[in-house]
Amino acid sequence: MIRKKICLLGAFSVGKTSLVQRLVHSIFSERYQTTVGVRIEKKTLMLDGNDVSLVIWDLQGEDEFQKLRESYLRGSSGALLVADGTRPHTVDIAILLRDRLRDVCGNVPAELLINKADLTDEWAVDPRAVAALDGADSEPIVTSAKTGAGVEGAFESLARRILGGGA
Amino acid sequence: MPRAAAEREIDELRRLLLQGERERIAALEERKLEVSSRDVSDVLPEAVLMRAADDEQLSRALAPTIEAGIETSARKNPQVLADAIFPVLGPAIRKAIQAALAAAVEGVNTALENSLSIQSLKWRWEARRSGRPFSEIVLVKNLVYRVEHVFLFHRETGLPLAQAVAPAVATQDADLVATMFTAISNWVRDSIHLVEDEEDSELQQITISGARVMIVRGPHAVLAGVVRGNPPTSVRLVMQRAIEAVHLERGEDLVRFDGDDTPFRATLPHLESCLQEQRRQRKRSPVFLAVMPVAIVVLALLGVWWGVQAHRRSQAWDAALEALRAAPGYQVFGVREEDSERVVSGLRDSFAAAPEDVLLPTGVDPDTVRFDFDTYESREFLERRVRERLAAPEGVGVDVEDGVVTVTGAAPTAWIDHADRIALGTAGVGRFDRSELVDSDFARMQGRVEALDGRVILFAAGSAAPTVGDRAELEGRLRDIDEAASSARRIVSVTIRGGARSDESPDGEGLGAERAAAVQRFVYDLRLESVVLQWLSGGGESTGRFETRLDVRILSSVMEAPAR
Ligand SMILES: Nc1nc2c(ncn2[C@@H]2O[C@H](COP(=O)(O)OP(=O)(O)OP(=O)(O)O)[C@@H](O)[C@H]2O)c(=O)[nH]1
Ligand SMILES: [Mg+2]
Repeated sequence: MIRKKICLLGAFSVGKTSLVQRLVHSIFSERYQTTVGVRIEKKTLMLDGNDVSLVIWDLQGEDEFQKLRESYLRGSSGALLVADGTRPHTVDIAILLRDRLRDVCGNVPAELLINKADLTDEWAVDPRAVAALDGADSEPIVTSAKTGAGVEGAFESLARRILGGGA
Repeated sequence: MPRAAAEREIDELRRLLLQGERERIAALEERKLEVSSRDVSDVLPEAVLMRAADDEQLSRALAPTIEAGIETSARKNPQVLADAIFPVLGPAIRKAIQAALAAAVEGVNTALENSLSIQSLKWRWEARRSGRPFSEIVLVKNLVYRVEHVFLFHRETGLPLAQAVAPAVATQDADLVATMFTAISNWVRDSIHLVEDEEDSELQQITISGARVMIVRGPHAVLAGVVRGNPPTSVRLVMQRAIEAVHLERGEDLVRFDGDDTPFRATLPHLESCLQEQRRQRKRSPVFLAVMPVAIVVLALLGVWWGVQAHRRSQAWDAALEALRAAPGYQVFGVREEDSERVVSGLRDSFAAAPEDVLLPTGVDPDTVRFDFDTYESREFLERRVRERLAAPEGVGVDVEDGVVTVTGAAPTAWIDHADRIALGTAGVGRFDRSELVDSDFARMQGRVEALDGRVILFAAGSAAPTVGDRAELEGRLRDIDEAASSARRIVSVTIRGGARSDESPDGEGLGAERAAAVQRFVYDLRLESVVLQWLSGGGESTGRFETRLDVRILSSVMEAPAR
């Protein structure tokens, strides 16, 4: 079976751990318990009839992207860059983290996730503006760890791009 | 005889013959003789035998038919004839070449004789400079030419009739050489379909290993002279005169030749007249004569040495090529001449001896040869190549056998990675076995990880701050693990669980989580290169117990792409 390491990167409290818990255990908690270091989970996805085992490294949130350490990123085949739709600043951090990722892992695929889609009233980020700012290779994906919307699709999309040749 | 007279005679003859014929036909018709093919075939073999025993009429009658048959066969498919003649020709040529080599040795003897003169020292120098064999220089300088052998052959049969040999030239196998000459001569002529009487286009001269074979033809015999050097045209004239004399004196014997060569012994003086030679005249200087006694000793020694060298050089070239072919790490493809330089092309292993060194013992001056070798990796040097490239550190044993490379002992991870790449990238290595090799960095890392695993950190009641002593110890151990893990190119994960006594706080779980978080923060802030702080999946950071526990595990198995 194909096994790939992926990382979740993003600022503090954007919902990285919540997204992984939603995907792996189908649970959601309002309680915030910050991650120190890394929390490693596994999830097997069915993609076009093939099993792909994702080893998910849910990293500690960083507002100072320089602090993100190489030892955590090494060997990653791709990453989910997570931003919080209610805090525009987290998009900038996600983009800086993407550059850090590419310094260490090369040009691996990365998806930009804009999380907390359920809090639309408080939304301050326009995904289309983000796409332009990103200069990205793909559209940002809007997700909600609370409702589960877009979560599985985001992981699948990344896995597909990793298997598709890693561009 | 005038032509008109001859024709008249033939007409007369024809009349006489036809007259008798007519009478005999009339007689036969009267007898009404009937002969069937069947009857003839019954008696034919016996008849042939009987007639052949009586005289040679039958052979003569059949000869034109057989000759025509052979000719037709040759035109139709020369290969058939070539195949038939080759087994005869091949050994003959080989033996002749051996004879020529023997002659070359004689040339060296001459050279040795000559090595006692000042003149010869100059020639040695010239030979060195020009790269030509000394013997050749001696021949050119000393001997303008010499007719060494003269053979007389019967033209029709190619059999030898007589031979004369110059003094000091070893007698060669006359039968063999003569047969060969005839064969080659006929062969060349037939193969290019030349008209018989075009004497000029027939083979006049061939060269075998530096010796020239001059051929002079008479109607019934051929004279061949083996000549060394550059003969003047007068040699051909002398030979021409000799063959004419042979025909004049032995014309009858030549026509009736039946394999008995005794009548031709008388031709020897004519043959010997062809054994001509011309030496260049040299004058010895009085100075040379004065220093003779001393010089002779010195020169004798030099002469012997040089003589050996020259002898080698004269045969050297083939030997040199053979040596290169046989030398380990060489693949010789061919030799070509380029601007009087010999160019040897092929493949050479970078571990092979220098081509100059290979040639040295063969006597060929490497300065006269240019080498055009591409590099390749030969199997002969596999072991050396592998050893050199691996550059195994002390404590590692390397064994190379049948393309299997086995390493034993202990080595750092960096070297093992290097060895993996070398083994993969070296042609001829079929398998790389390092199952008996200990990764010393990994072993060191493992030892340190095991020492930390299960470590319990105690806290003061109600406190979530680890003591200064615990922090110092934890940092020291983790930095050691980090160093070893970095060398071993592995990543070690550290998991921390927290706990609290139920009487410590009403919310015991909260204090435990706080303690775990404090240690996690501390470890994270150490910013270690190869240690990652891992949370256990599915929560469980708090154990509900009084302590904070360090769980240390090696994570490399989890990683898809290990950090190498
Ligand atoms: N409404 C809403 N809340 C969310 C969503 N995702 C996460 N949260 C909340 O946001 C807070 C932070 O969530 P985490 O998943 O711990 O965030 P994180 O990115 O892992 O944070 P760090 O590990 O500290 O970097 C928690 O209180 C979550 O309940 C979401 O999609 N919708
Ligand atoms: Mg988290």
